[in-house]
Order: sequence, then C-alpha cells, then structure tokens
Amino acid sequence: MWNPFSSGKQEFENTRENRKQCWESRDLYFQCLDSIDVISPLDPKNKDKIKRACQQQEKQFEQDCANSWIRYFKEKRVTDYRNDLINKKIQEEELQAAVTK
Amino acid sequence: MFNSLKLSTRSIGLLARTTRTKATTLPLAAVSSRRLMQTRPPLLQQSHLSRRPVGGSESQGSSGRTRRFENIEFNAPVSIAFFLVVGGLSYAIFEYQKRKLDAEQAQESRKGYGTPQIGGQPFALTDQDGQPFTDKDLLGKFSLVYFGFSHCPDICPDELDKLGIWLDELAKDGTAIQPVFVTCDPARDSPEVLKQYLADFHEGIVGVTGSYADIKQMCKQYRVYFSTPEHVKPGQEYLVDHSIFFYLMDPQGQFVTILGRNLDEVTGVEKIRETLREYRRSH
Repeated sequence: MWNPFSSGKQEFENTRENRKQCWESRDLYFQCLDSIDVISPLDPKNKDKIKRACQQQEKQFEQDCANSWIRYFKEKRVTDYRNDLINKKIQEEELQAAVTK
Repeated sequence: MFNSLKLSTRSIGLLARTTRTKATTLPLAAVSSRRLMQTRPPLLQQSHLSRRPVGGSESQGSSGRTRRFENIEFNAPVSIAFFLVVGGLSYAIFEYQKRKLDAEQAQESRKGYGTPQIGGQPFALTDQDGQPFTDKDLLGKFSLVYFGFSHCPDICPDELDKLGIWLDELAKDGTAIQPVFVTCDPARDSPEVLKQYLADFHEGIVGVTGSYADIKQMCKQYRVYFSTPEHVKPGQEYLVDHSIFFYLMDPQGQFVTILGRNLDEVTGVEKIRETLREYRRSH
C-alpha cells in the first residue's frame, strides 16, 4: 500500500516496543482529532482542518507505525466510531423499551 | 340388545341423547333404555361389558333399522381404542422428539457449535526452527491453534498476550496446552521472522509457516477466512484479513471448541477449564 506521507521512511521493525510506540502515537493523534471533532482522517474534507490543528501528531503517528497500519488505523477509527454509535443506539432503545414496559 | 344399547349410552354420555332420540322410532327400545338408566347405577356397567354381544347375530337380525345404534354401540370401544392408540402414539412421538432434542442440546453445549468439520486432517508445515510441523505434532496433548500474521497491527498481538496469560494461568493447575500460531502470511513470515516475532510473547508458542498452497490448505481446514495475496512485490506492504479464533484441539488432533475474542484473560481460562472437564467426563 503506497503512502505519500511515508516516502523515505525506514521500514518498520515489528517489535513489542515499536508496536507500543505506534499505538501511543496513534492515540495522541486520535485525541487531537477528537478535539477538533474530526471522525474520518481519510475524508478529504477534513484535510485542511487536520493540517492546521494536528499536523504534528499526524506526522508522529505516521512516523511510528508501519505503512500498512496507518490506513488501517485511520479506517478503523471510522468503523469504531460507527459501531459505538450503533451500540449506544441499541442501548438507548433497550432502555426506552424497559421504561415503556 | 337393549342391554348393549344401554351400555353404549352410558359409556358415552354425550351420545346418550342421540341414542334416545333415535330410539323414539322404536318405542320399546326407548322405554327400556330409559328405565334401565334410571335403575342401574353407572358404575356397575363395567361388569357387563364382557357379556355384550359384539357385532354378532343379534344386530344382524335388525340390521336395517338399528344401523345407527350399531354404530354408536361399536363407537365406544373403537373410540377408546382409537384415543388410546393416537394418544399413546403422540405421547411416544413427543417423548422421542423431546429426548432427541435434549440429547442434541447436551451435545451442542458440550461442543459449543454443533459438530463442524474443523481440523483433524493431515498437514505438513514448518515450525519457527525450520523443523517439520505436521498433524502428528497435535497428538498426545491438547493444543490451542491460532491463525494470524506477524505484521498484524493490533489484534494478533493483543490475542497472543491474552494467550500467554491463559497458558500461565492453566499451568498453575498442571494443565499443559500446546499453543500453536499459524501464519496466514507465509510470504513474509519465514521461520526466522516468526521466531523473532514470537520471542515477544509466551515462550511456548510454536510458530508455524509453510508454502502458500500449504498454508491456504491449512486455513481451509480450519475454516479460516484467507485473503492473503499470492504474488507480492518485494517491499510491498499489505494487511491480511483473517478470522480471530483460538481452536482447542484434543489429544487425537480433533476439534473440541473455539474461543473467540469476546473471552478475556479470565473468562477464557474459565471456558478452557470447563471444556476440559466436560471433555474428560465424556471420553
């Protein structure tokens, strides 16, 4: 998977420390996205917004993670968000059903 | 004949009225039937059943007129027999089905997911030291087989850490289980790569790899969704989709149950212990 941001980056060495580093950078990056209300980092609409507020975190995240993981984590953020929404909705409906009973 | 008529009217209370209305065409029969009903206590009739004429010469004499009576007369035992037979049969079928269902359920709970054909077939792969690893290596001990790949971003490492905790916990009460990690990504996961990768996890885990075709076959055996591209350019990065289950195999190399991602450090151990208890009871 070719990634324009990561050209010239040395290959990711898959060790426990590096994985941990990658996940931490990912979490910081996603926290930043949370703070500017961006769900999908892959949506071109959000590109400028992310560049303004989270450029540093994005760079670090892409530096610390394997290339194939970068897109995976970005996509996963969106699906996780949707799953959360669905779960919340289901819970609310169950609560509603319990109340009306 | 009147005696028998009375018997039938008594024994089938509901039909008694019909019998009587029909009997008005035959005054004598009607009167005597009524008279007998008043004088005889109902319980006594049982003793007379044996003396009743059964479809014999009496009815033949008055066949034309008493056709109806005959039918009613013979309905009593026939219907009783009918109900007994039908009732008995339905009861027997019900019991049979219930027992069958119970047995199925018991089996289901023991096996978890019915009896799917998972594993249990020959395979010839290579472990992380370059030694052959075949179906024979699953014999004589319980094994937990997991499919993954070393370039897995987040799920496999989590699952392998979890597996390590299970193994330590199970070792406390002397339960030894052979952990096997089968790569779905043979192109990148050579024995050396696996060895290095698995060094980060529980020490007992056997890393297994092989040719693309052999790994594909292995995944097929275990019903593992396999999406690895066959021809990859050097240096090209990709991810592998795969199912996330641990397969618990028995000392005959046969599938016992699966353990999914929903099980955590504690519930996973509980499920394995319970499964092994149940397994030992039934083997």
